[in-house]
Amino acid sequence: MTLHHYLILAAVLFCVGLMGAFTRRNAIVVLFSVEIMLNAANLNFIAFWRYSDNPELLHGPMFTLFAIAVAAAEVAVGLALVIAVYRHFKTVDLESMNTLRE
Amino acid sequence: MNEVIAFWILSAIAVLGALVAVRKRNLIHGVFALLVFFAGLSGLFLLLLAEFIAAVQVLVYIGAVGVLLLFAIMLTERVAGDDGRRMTSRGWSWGLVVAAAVFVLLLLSLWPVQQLSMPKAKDPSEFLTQISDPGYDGNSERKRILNSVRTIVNRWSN
Repeated sequence: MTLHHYLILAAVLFCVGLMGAFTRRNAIVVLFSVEIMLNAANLNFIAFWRYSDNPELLHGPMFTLFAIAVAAAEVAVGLALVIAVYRHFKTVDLESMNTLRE
Repeated sequence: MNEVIAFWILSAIAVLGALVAVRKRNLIHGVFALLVFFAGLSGLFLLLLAEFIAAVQVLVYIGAVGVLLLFAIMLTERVAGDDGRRMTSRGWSWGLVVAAAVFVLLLLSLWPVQQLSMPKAKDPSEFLTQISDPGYDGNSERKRILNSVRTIVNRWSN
């Protein structure tokens, strides 16, 4: 396995997440997609770390741990926002939330 | 060889899980596909010898985030799903075009990496044999790590 296998896999996963975030209407699915993109970035961090000159220094896992902690907090806040929006608009459809456009 | 097979199986699991999670109409099924994606990624972390990150991935994502998403779906969509309406947003084809363009851009940006860093790169399996080697001297390894840390600290303090 070379570094490139992992990098291309991470690029594929990132673009799947990007596609979901751009094409779906449901706010919760957009949150899924953001999670997929964050995990692809974590895979990149770990792959670059493992194939670096001195993996003993553990810089990759440090970045990844930080990203995982922030992503977990982001999911909690994002879902709280989605539920607040649902209570206000009675839907999580992103196309019906166009208050700023009108 | 085993590593190569494991890589392809795990990456297939991860990509399929992500695709199903993004394209499924039923949100509950989507969350379960997302959990499969997280599990596949955790296996890939194990393959890259990042055991701690793999464990954290299982605990935080499959454990916490999965349950949180299931609760949010339960609280928002009464039965889970877009109940027969259009699933994709207006102008979704532009989203596909932009995602494909970003993919091409990422691949193009990978091109120079190949020539620069591949000869230096270490294979994870070498690292494993190094640890399981009976002649492996952990003490000198520790000294080497301490020395490299000392070099970095010196460089920063100057």
